[in-house]
Parts: sequence; C-alpha cells; structure tokens
Amino acid sequence: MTMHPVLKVAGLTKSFVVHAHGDLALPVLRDVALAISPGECLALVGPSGAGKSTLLRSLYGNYRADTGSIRVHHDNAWTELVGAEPRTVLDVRRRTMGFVSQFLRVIPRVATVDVVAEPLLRLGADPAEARDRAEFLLSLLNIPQRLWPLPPGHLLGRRAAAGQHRALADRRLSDPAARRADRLARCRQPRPRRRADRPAPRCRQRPGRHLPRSRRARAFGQSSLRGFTMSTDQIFTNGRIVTRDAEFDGTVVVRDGQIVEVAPGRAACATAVDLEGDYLVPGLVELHTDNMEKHFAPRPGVQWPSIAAVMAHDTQIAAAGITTVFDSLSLGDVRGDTDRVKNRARMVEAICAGERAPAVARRASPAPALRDHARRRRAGGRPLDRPAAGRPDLDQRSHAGPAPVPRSGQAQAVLHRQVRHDRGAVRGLPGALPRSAQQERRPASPRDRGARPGAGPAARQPRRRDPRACRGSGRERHDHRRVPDHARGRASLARGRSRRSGRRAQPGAGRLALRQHRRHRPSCATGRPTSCRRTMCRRA
Amino acid sequence: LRDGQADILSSDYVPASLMESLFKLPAAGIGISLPEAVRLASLNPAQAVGLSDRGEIAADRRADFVRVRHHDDAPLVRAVWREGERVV
Repeated sequence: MTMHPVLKVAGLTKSFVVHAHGDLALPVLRDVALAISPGECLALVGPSGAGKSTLLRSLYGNYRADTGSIRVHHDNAWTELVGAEPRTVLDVRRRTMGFVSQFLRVIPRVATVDVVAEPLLRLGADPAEARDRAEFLLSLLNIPQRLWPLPPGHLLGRRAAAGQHRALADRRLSDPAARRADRLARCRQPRPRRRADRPAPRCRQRPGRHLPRSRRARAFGQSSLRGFTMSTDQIFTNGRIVTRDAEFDGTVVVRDGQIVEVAPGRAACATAVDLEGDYLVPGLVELHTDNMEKHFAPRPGVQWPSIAAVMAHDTQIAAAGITTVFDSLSLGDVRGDTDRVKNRARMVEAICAGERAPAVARRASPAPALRDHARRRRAGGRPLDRPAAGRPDLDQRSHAGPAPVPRSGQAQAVLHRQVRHDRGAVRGLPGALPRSAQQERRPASPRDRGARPGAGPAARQPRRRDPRACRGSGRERHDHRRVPDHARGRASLARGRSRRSGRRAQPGAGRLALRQHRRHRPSCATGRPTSCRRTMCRRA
Repeated sequence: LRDGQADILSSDYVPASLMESLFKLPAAGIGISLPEAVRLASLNPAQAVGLSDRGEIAADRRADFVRVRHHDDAPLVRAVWREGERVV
C-alpha cells in the first residue's frame, strides 16, 4: 500500500503567554516535525506538560500555531492549516479530520450504534448504510452485539470512546484520501487501544464483509503503530553558571541531552528548575581513579560481589560530581596474589556486564554506566592470564591500543568509563598525572635499593620468634603476624624483592622496613613508608 | 598550580577530592579563579583524551553538569545531571 503521507507537520511552534502570571511565556511546542501515512497510528509519547494535547489541538485548529506548517491531504490536494480561513478548517474537520477527546462526550441515552453512525449521517449518508457501517465498526472492536443498542457511557466506557473514534475513522471509507490525527481513548489505559487497533479475528458473520477487501484493509487491516516522542526542553535557571572562562547568574536550556543555550539572566518559565543560586559547574571528568578496586576488596581478603561493587563505586563517583570516569585497573602487582590482582577478572567482567545490560550499573535513579573503551598496553606487573571473555580489547598482551576515541552516540551512557591499564594510556598529557600506578607498583630497581641502606640486608635477617605468635606451622604463624596496615605495602615490596633476587621471602620484612624507615627518615612527616614511597622520601 | 604548570586534577582514590579542590583553589589566593579551577577537572581532562562533546557548560555540549552549593566552605553536591538526566 502506498505510504505517501497524508498529514505533514514542519517547524511547528506554539507557546502560551500566561497573563495572570506577569506575561509568563511557556514555550510548549518547538520545531515539531512529523508525517503520517495512511493506515498508520501515531502515538504521542511524553510526560505531562510535554505538549501532546497542544500538538493535537494545533493540528485540529483549536490552537493557532505560532509558526510552522500543518499540511493535510484534503480533497486530493494539500491544504495548509496554519493561518487557514476558518471555513477551510471547518471543511477539513467535516470531511477529513476528526478529533476524539480522551473523555467520552456523547448525548446521554443514545444507543452506541447510533453514536457511531452519527458522523456518517451528518455527511449525508443513507441511514441504513451508516448503521450498517457502524455495526461493522463495532464488531471490529470486539464489542458484543447485545451491547450495541445500549448507551455507551455506562456500559462500554473507553471501548465506546474507541468506537466513536472508529466512526470518525470511517470517514475514510467515504473518502479514502482523508486523514486525521487523533488520540485514542487510552491516554490513561494502554490496553483498550491495542484491542481497538487490532482487527477482529476472521469471522464469517462479520457484518462488514460485504466491503471490498481493499477498503477494509485500508481502514483497519494495515494499521501500524508508531510512537512519536515529544521532546521537552529542560530549563535550569537562577544558577551561578560556571563556563569555560566566566561565572555569572544565568540560565541553561537543555534539549535531548544537549545544552542548547547558556545565557545570563533568569528565565520566566514555570517549568524551569530553580537552582536557588547554587553553582552549576560542568560534570567533572576523572582520568584516573583506583576507587573501584576499593569496592571490590573493601577489606583485605574480602571479595565483594561484582555488580554491587560497581554500583557502589558508580554511586560514589556520580555523587562526587564526576560524570565521566576512567577506571584504572592494575594488570599486575609485585605479588601475584593481591586483592587487586585476584579481582581483576571480576572487575573487567563487571564492566562488561554494565555494557551489556545498562541497568546493571544504574544508580538508584536511572544512570546506566557504559564503559566506553578499553585501552591495552603492557603494564609493569604480571600479564593477564587470558584475555577478558568477549573483550579482546582488554587483553593487555596486545601492545598497540586503539585510538582514545570513545564511542559516540551512546545516549544513555551515564558514566563514560574507560579501563585504563597503565599510565601509558594517557601518555602525552602535559604533566597531567601524578606518579603513575605503574611506577608505584614496579619492583624497585637496584638503584633504589642502593638508596635505602639497610633495607636489603635487614630483609634478609632471620625473624626473631615472637613468643606470643600463633603456634602452628610456619605458614600459619606467618599469616597471623600482625603487620600494620600501612606497612603492608612495604612488606609486599620487600618480599617481592627477595623473590626477584632469588632469595626466600622474609616474613616480617614490612615491619622491619617500617622501623628502618623511621630510623633513617625521622624527618618524614608521614612515618609511613607506603605514603612516603609515593613522595619525596623515596627519591631523597 | 601556582605557576600554571598543572592543567589536570585527578582524584586517584578519593572521588570527592575533585570537587573539594575546585572550591579550595580559588580560596587559596594563588591567582586561580573558579572557572580556571573548574577547567582543571572538566575541560582540560576532556580535551586531553579527545572528548570534545563535554567538559564545559556551553551550547552543543552534553548536558553533564553538577549543582553545587558552597556551604560553610564545603562544596555540597546537590544534584548531578548526565545528558540531561538527573542521576544524583
């Protein structure tokens, strides 16, 4: 069947001025464009206030559009309704376009079948024929024949309203080119509408079967349902807007997730979000955070469930005002069995899960987290055992990484997330990043070792047996020793070194290292070799 | 920062530190205005990784922004929108 539109709308704009509120201007429709073809059912979708009713009333000529064009195929020609003479609008309404409110409005105590037949009678159709068609239409709606003589209001409710709607649709039977935009009676109830749109099951007794098949098809059989989403402008006003190079009291207008206007001053719009003078700053872009690892291992040795961990991390990130985040995962560590290494695969999987099912990593309010992109580069630590399932780009064994371009057009992405394996991924930034994770985790070079007199030999000294230590096998004792949390990093480092140099790891080296650190660096404010290692102490 | 040598801030493992620093820097009296401080954590990092669609409040950028109240010297994040959708 032909799909030439019979109704075309372009650039339609409509705003209201509320004189009672200081001539408040409400821009309701902005640049609406749509086209409807025969046999098509277009559903307007949008929250309250999006302008659905305004659009319908503008199409029907109840509201006068400010600008734009509404063209309807009427009398085998295009008729422009914006700015049309009232008599033209009336003629279009009488023969081409109908309108049914969501509220059933009929004369009381009139039989349903007569209500449905009324528009055809008004067009001068033969009463018997009009009634015949009305019965046909009611049967298409699956309304039982015994209800036809009853008034629609009490007994049929919305289905009767749908019948009334179909009666208007029936005008198409007399004028195939006619078209109307309307709203079915299902604004508050989606189900009846689908019923109404669905042709009745094949039935030999169908009253309308005398109609030519083509006309039946044109009227009902080929209906297709399509949604038209009314986009709404969001207005944020009375805020202290911080732009690239200025801050001022102003207003931001957003459409379809994009900023369309930033202007000083206040918007006099009832639907605007009042920022109450608060700052409005751009969403922060975080290029390096280890924060996710923390949520996967909230305490040493504890492995938190992946999805819960990612969501908790996301929540924290979003609440910190960060809208784009690059998560850093360690590929390796000086010891192979640290939490961050053990959790690495889970973290990668959770990130991928967030990609597959955006709901997984949503914040309490909808915020699907999509991970843009994964970079690969060899880090200083141990290599990944295997590529992440389904994500060959997470396999750090590949040396060349794709260009750092995130996928675009992912409209739902909340937190653009990037798995960053080492600082090579952002190499080239002009001095942007602090000393990288890679450097921190790299086993110490011989030069470093030389710079810390005593650290090496001390690590090799035999541990003195602590009489209070757990009396078990050597390994158990080892595990029960209380190494201060802040010394753990040093402990692992010391063990790693011994392993590298082929000696047996010395338990308790971390504590020794701490003691030595305090002895040799009394001026260090932290007193903690782990922090110290990150700053000047290590280099001194 | 004082010498204009740093152009990107990162939070490492304390996400809230970014917003905190944006409001601390102008107060530190080292000649950094609020827009300049904000750039360190939004526009500059976005540009550094080639994300030209975000990083500032300007037309044709993603509607990613944060409503912050400066209360008692502490920045309170009161709402966050990501592509126009409120997420916090």
